[in-house]
Amino acid sequence: MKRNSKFIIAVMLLGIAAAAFAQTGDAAAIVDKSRNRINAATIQTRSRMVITAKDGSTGNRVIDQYSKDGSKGESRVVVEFKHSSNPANITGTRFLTIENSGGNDDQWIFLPSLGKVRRIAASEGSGSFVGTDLSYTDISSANRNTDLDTHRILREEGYQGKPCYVIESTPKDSGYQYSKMVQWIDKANSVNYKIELYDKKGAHVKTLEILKLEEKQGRLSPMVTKMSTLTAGTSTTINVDILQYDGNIPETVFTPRYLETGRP
Amino acid sequence: MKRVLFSLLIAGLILLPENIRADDDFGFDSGGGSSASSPSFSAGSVDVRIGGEVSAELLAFTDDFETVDKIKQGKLGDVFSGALNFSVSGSAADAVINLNLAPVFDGSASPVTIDEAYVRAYFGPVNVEGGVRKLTWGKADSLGPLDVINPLDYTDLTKISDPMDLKIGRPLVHISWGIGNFSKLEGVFVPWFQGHHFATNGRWAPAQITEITGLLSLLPDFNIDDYYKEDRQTLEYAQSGLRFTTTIGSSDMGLQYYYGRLPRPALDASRMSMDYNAYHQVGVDYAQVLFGFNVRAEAAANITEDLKGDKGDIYNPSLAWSLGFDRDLIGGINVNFQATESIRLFHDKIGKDPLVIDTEEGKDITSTRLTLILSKKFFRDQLELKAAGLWDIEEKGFLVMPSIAWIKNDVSVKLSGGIFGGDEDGELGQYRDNHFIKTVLTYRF
Repeated sequence: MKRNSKFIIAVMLLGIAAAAFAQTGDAAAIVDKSRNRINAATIQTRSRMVITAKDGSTGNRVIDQYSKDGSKGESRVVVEFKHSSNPANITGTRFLTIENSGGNDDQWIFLPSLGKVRRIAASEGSGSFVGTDLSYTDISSANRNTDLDTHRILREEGYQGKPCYVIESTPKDSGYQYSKMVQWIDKANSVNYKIELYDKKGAHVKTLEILKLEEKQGRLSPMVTKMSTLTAGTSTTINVDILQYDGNIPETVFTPRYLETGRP
Repeated sequence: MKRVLFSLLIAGLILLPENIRADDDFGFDSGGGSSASSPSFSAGSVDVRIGGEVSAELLAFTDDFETVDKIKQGKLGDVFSGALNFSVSGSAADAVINLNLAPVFDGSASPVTIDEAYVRAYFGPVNVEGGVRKLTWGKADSLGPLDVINPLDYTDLTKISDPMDLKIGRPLVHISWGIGNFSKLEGVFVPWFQGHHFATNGRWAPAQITEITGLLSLLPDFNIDDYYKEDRQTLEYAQSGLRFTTTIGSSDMGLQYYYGRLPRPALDASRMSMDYNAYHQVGVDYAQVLFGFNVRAEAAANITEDLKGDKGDIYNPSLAWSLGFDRDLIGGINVNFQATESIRLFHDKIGKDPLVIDTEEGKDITSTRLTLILSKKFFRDQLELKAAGLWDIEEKGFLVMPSIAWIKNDVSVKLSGGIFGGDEDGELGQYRDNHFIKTVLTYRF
């Protein structure tokens, strides 16, 4: 499990600690290290996403995720909404994503209302992910290939008392949802504490922040992360309630058949 | 009905004690990780869930507002509808009971009907299901040629936008065998048969049916309502099928065979009766993401017993296909398109013999329907604008259904409408006076 985890795991991994690396890396190497440095055979999480509206009202989504690399090293992630506190219209929904190095990722979805597993496109771009402040692009951004952006170190400054590199990443593809991402990466442990996201007009529209880090099975792991949509005054806070590294996940979980039944 | 609900409650209570698996269930093993809780589906534990929905709906037809008298006669629909869903999951089996609720004040029918009720048992890579079930075969989003197992309920076309709502659950046995991680062989056996449901009177009674039943109603013992409701509960009407699906690279594909009955009745004019024709279907399907488009395709050959096309009481063999795609376009507008066509074989034989009244006489050789759905969500999916359109090319009939829905967690409010048009003899155009508008408040739990 070195890279390309999806969904909340991906967001969470923004802050996964790496071994201390050289103080003097170039910008791309720093970002690459931050995004990809994780050492776990599998990752399992249950995350409680609290969606806060502008008026302060809230809604919840509880997401279970299972992540494990395939035999060729490809990332595989299952996301399911089985917890009963989810809105009824999404309870029972399951996603499977398998990284495809030769092209777009393979993705399937099972919707109880549809009654079958359906292949879907790998990205729905700027659309909201199950009603949260995270877009599908955001979900995959943490594992975004470093080569897709141009990186430069803007400055070095402290973030909550931690010395950080402030790095601006500009997508080479003008069709990408954002025109640039500015991130604060800890110089000592590569934790990416904060990302500012700018729209195509250059306006700062969203901010992703890690609010709480904990040591879990020897890995410094972000347990609370918040995405704020500045223009709408809304936010989504992702609380990782359960986190397990290196647990047993049967191979049959990463199949369309599991999406149908929820049974490995 | 009270007895049924009471029995369900008692059954639930019996199943509840001791090891109730619930929302704390997570993961696939019990050791190793921090914060990991008990293993999933451990022996002796069960997960009991109760859900459902309650809806308040107002429905109006535009022709009800043509005169003051008509307004006074307007009914605004049933107002209430609902559903109750019960499920129990154990270590090696699931049981599901989904009930539909509808108001019946005069005792003429049950206010509760079974939508689905089945048990599914797991034997390693093999699952066995039995009970009343809605199964979807094929890749198409909207009732493709391979989706043949369940008949459809056309008695209320205000619900036509949701294919699963249209389906009628049928008693069946379904076996699924997972072969490796990405292949599956399924078998289904449906011991009884029931055709599509059509209204026999009122505004949704189709002319194609009333013409046939008009003739047959002259017979002293014929009651069309009984005919439709009647299950053909003998093995003569049994149906069965096999389906193999697999994934190769980034392509999903399937191959299926089905022996069953065509869901629309055919008229036997010589005997003044109607029946559902037996047929064999061989079909294939395919799905792949191409240039960001989710592409889905199906093709099928429907082989009836009229292999020369000259039997009036049997539908001719036909070929059918569907091709569809969806993707997000500019501004996050999602486009979902599907074309479906049926091509009658031996069409030129119809009407050749003046002594034979053919059930397909006067129809076009092809029947082509285009379905287009445009949708856009706003405010983190809380507001959805949607427009669905059906276009029957040969009959020049259409149906346009715009809607706006506000969804806040478990509560939704939806305003929608339907506009019919086209040839008044067509499948859609005949409802040109049935434009409707409805608003529904729903709570799902």
